Amino acid sequence: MSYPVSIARKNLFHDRVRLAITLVGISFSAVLILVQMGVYLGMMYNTASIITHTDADIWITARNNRNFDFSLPFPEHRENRAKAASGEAEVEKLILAWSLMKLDAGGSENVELVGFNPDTGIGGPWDMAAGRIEDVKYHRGVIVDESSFAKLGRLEIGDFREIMNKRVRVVGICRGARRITTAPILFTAFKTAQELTPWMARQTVFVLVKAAPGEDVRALKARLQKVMDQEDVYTKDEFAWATKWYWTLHTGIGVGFGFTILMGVLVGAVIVSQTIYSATVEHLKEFGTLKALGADNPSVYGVILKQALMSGAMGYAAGVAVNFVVVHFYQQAGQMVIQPWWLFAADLVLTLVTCVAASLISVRKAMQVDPMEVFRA
Amino acid sequence: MNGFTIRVSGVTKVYGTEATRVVAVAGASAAFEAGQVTAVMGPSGSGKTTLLSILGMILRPSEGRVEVLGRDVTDLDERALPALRRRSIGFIFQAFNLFRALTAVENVLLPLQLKGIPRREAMERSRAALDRVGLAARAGFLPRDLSGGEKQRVSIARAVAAETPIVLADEPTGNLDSMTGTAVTGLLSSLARERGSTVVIVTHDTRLQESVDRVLWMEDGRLRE
Repeated sequence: MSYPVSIARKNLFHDRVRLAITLVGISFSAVLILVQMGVYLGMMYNTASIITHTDADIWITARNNRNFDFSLPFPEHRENRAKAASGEAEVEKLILAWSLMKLDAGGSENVELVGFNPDTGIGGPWDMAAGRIEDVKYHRGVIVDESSFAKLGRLEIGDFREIMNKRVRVVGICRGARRITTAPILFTAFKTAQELTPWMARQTVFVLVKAAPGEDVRALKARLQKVMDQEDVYTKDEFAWATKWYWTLHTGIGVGFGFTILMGVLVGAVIVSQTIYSATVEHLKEFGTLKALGADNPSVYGVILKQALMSGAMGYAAGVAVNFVVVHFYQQAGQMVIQPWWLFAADLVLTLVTCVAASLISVRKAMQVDPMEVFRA
Repeated sequence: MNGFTIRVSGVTKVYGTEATRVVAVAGASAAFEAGQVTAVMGPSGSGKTTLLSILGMILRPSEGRVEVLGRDVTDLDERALPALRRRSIGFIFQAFNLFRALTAVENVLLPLQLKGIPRREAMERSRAALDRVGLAARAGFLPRDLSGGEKQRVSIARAVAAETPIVLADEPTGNLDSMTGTAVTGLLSSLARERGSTVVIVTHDTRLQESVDRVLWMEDGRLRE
């Protein structure tokens, strides 16, 4: 039997006010999900950005360390054990320490100091806007991420500031190292970092290992875990994921974003089910007539489902367009939003599934239509 | 005579439970011939529409047998009924039952689309049917832009285009003035004459008895010649 396609489309466009309400609801839901997920993915990217951009395959941390930003120190001489077990692999220390920087306008600001080896650059900034990485070796040089200007004020190369009462000199400006903690991030030489944070004397926070070309990273990790028996050993991916999971599960971020996304799904479902249900009730006699004319039940339900799917697809398309506008404003405000293709695909599927699920209430109503309804004047 | 297309034997329809029992049709028996227009007349609530629903396989009788085009459909599987309805029965309703979002020609097209007739052929047949009822110029109009008489003619065109051997009409003149009502009855009569269709009209409009071939009377669920 031919499928009465046009009824769904014609019904949908016949009542433009109802269609507009439906599309607004679905778009709102789609925008909420896309933007919230985009912001969440942006934040998660930031949590692990230093890990993913650091040219190291293995991260050794203090025992039970669960994330990058609040990692605890351990004796730097432990690096020697790692070196002994690493063979040809390159081994570096990296410090991450919280400190205080005096502001020009008065007062101080918490900063995250990353101390790396400027000779190899491992653990250092990866996108320089101005200056040179190797200049951190001199005059307590620091490289400031652009995102820090909001808290530290605009800084130029050659500017001086004080960290823990010691003068530091800005030698470079970098990009992309924004932290989820919102603390300004400063890169400096490993020794300078120790000097600026006296409690870090003879300590390190990470030991990084870069496998030799062709070396099996899993085997290297197993070898290191044996000798680093007082520390945890992660591959790069494992540590990035551990950091993301920490921020998702051990803070309110996961619950907060999850709840907002759930609200988006529910709002979309409620609006779609309400509008499709009222449209179904209004067209109940028509569905009865369709049956009287010889349409079987699947065809009648097909009309309702098709209406739901068309609403979903149009609402989603409108939502994607609005999403790009919203994302533009987010980015203008300095918020990183990451929306990979699979997010759009997943949101489309979710929107359509929600619409179909919402329309099932209407299908149920159509199933219960009194056959005598068609004869009522 | 071209033979019977519908036959009901001892058909009874009971609504409600034991406590709220209502007998809408009580032991009705009749046979309807091809090429003949039969009017089933009676006051409101006499069971006419229920009988029509049983003839149209929309309702199943509580008792008795129903035969459509020589086939006993009383206990036919629910899933087989839509196909049989598509092939054999066209409906005309008192309230026209047009799809409000579809134009006149699309309304006429619908049963043909359900039958799987190719769109071009279906469109030609639909336009011809609208022409047959004098509404060729209104083909692109939505029902809201048509008068009551025009809507009923679209409804008749829908039955004409479907070319079903049986046409069941429920109070087809109920919402029309007398002149338009006469025109509609004339259309149904010519449908029976030209196509050899069985036309059954349920009505309480006694003026129609002059323009039909046969009249059956219904009162308190009982059917008599």
